[in-house]
Amino acid sequence: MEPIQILLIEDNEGDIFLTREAFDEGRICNTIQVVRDGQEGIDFLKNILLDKNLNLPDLILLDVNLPKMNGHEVLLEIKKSDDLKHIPVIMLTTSSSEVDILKSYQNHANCYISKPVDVNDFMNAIQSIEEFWMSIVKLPKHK
Amino acid sequence: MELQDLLNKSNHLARIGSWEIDLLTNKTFYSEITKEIYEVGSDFVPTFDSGIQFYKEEEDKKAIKEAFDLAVEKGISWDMELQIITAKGNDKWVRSIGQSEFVLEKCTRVYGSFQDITKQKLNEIELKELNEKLKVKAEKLAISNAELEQFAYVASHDLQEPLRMVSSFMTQLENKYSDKLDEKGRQYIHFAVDGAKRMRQIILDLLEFSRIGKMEEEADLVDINKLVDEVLILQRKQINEANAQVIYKNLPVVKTFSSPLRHVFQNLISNSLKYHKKEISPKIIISAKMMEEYWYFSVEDNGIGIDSKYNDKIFQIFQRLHQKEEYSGTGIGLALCKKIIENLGGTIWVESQLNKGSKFIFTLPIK
Repeated sequence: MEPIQILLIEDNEGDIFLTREAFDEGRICNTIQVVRDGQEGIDFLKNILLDKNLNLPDLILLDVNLPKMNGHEVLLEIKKSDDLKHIPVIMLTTSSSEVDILKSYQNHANCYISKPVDVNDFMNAIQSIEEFWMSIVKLPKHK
Repeated sequence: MELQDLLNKSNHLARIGSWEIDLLTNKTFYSEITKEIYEVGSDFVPTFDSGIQFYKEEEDKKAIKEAFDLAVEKGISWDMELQIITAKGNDKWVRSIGQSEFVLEKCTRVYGSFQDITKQKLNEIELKELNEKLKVKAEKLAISNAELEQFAYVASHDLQEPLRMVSSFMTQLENKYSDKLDEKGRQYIHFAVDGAKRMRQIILDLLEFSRIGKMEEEADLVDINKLVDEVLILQRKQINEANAQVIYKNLPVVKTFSSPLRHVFQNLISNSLKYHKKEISPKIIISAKMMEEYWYFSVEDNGIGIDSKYNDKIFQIFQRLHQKEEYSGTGIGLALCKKIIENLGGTIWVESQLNKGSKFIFTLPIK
């Protein structure tokens, strides 16, 4: 099986570390690429679209509070692009504000997860993401 | 004649002067009080022009001349408040009322009253200035309040993130390296994680405190019986564990904001459940009565009570009376209640003695 490609757009080094760790401990083969601000995330995706040798990620994990371009703006860009909007975007953020949640779903986020405070819960959440999106869900094949 | 006398006397009492200009003889007459207001001697002989000269401002001189002309030509009366400088050089505010008399369509005399209104006028001006100052202060206060709330919100939100890192990696350390640590090492981790947890709770409470007062919902008719029902459902576990008895009936329907009020009841009831005596099960009585313009609500318990010297202190934010090992909490509950009740236009206080239970009372305006 092809390894699942995940794009993590996150600026907190601690969370990047923990997320990697959780995916590493998971059963499913995957590769994680990390970008640390919103603008970089969009540039990264646009670059892939230009280069036929590169593959788009199968799943995007997106933080809300990001430097330069915030998560909402990144989400909007992805979901208005015909080439990118099929990629599931999981909002993964410390914010549990109703405004952020509603705004994300209105902009077609595929799901919204508030980072659990307890690290064990956090690891479980990441592993649940892996379990659900990579083995239960059928994802489209990239063009 | 008697009537004229009475009128003179009452004018004297009210310090209302009179004046008259006879257009046929071209003579001007001032009453005693008018002369007193102008601070001229009783032998002063007034003329139309000298009368005008007393007015302080050029535009007042012009205004009174115009009013006079209108009265003579068209029979229009006037009532104006103007500034004069008296013969002795004192500034005064006066109220001048004038009207004209016509004989065979010809104006024969103009007459009116004259009153020293300096005191009232100065009071009025002072009041206006005070009001202006107050307005500015209120605006400044509103801005600084908004800034403070914003600050608390941002601070608590941004503080959460690094704190989560501390507790996350401490816990990971415990998860992964537990076998390499001795008991002391594990205890270090425990204290660090526990500290982070408590700080997180304080931040969350602070956040909540900063949010109070932003009442975006509309006032509603709230059935307090139902509201207390809801609170008790949420606390069922604690009630069962403590074997508590909660007594309430016939609580009123009040026009208010339900969610902050629910918060108050929840806080008070949970305090009563928490601070109960070890040897007897808690009994909580919730009642309400109407007095004058307020509803008086009370939540009374048979718990450990509060030393009356702390009656005010317990409503201060982060003020606690117990060590965290005895009773947990950050000390924000009652501060929150106070802020909510005062926002709703009421007051909250406690009647209590150590070991004799507590009775928390708060008021809500009926209208």
